Amino acid sequence: MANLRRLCAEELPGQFELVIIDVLEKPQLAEEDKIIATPTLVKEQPPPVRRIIGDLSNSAKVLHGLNLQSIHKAKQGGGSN
Amino acid sequence: MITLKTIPVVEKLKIGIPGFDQISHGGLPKDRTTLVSGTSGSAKTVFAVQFLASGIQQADQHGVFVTFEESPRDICQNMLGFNWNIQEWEKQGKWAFVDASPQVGEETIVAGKFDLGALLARIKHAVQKVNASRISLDSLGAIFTKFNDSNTIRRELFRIATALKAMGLTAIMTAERTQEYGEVSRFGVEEFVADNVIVLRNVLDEENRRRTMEVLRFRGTSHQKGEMPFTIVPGHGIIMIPLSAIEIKQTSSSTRVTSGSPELDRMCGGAFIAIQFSSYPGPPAPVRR
Ligand SMILES: Nc1ncnc2c1ncn2[C@@H]1O[C@H](COP(=O)(O)OP(=O)(O)O)[C@@H](O)[C@H]1O
Ligand SMILES: [Mg+2]
Repeated sequence: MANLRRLCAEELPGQFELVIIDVLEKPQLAEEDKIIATPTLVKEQPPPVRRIIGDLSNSAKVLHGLNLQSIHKAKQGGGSN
Repeated sequence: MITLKTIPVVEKLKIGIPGFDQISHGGLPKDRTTLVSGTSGSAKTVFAVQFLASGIQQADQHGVFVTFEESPRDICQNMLGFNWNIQEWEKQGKWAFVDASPQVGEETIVAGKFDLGALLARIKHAVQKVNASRISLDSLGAIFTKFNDSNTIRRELFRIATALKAMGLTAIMTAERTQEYGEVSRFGVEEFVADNVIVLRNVLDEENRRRTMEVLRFRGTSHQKGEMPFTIVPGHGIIMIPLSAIEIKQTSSSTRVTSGSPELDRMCGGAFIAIQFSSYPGPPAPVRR
């Protein structure tokens, strides 16, 4: 969770909406969305819908899953685009 | 002073599959998980569904079906051929699906450590919803391929099996194997549900498909040994004919018929003995290895 907040704040300042669901309290929501693993991050918008599973300790994979390129990397790399 | 020692007895649950309760000496170990392993097409899914269907039809025991491979929709469709109307049972609150099958267009990326807490929460929810006493999980291989992290999945399935036991559920987990005679299952699944293992086989035997079931082990309780033949009958499902029910009717005879060769007749002590066989319409006798 901390990993996710940090990533969103760093990479998507002010541009994200985060909805948190506790599957233990609301298992019927997990059933509707067919969630199996915990934690699961579902990227609903923009398409394609993607599920990113795990504690998000692997930032590179998370960014890839969110279709984001790290701002830091882009800057470090000279940032021509 | 009298010392009494109690030996825990493994209770069994009659599951209601014809013949199975005999070969297993009374059914599946109650409140435990049994691994049902078999190659593709060996009737794992039919067995897993029939375990719940028999409970509903014969004992008013409700069931939860966790599917990792086929969609609930496909299962409902396929099983109509056995006169199991799952959708009707769902409406009556006797059957609940937990759908863990691959979703169309779903892309999954693993980025760090995870557990199957969400799946367990859904299972618990479904069990409470229909007040289930039986549960089938079919088939474990699919979840190993989905996450590609065998250690985590094994650990989590063990956690699920422990939770099922605590809830007092009698469970079946199915798993794939690649060969008819070889390792018990892929991904070493049997290592965490090692107590009770059943193997289903579908072997080509002199150009005939032969289906057999073998109880490999039941911890702390007896069962018949060896492979038992079974058939899949439309409208009924798996039907097994246990050995004790097979009677080969043979009338002994002392009527001698000549072989046609005086020399051969002399060697046989007079002539051939006429033997009458009454044909038995069942499957072949079990094979022991
Ligand atoms: N509705 C049906 N009616 C008759 N036979 C069926 C039906 N569904 C499956 N079978 C038979 O059962 C066999 C085993 O099916 P299945 O349980 O799906 O195998 P597995 O799950 O081990 O891959 C099939 O090959 C088929 O011969
Ligand atoms: Mg199957």
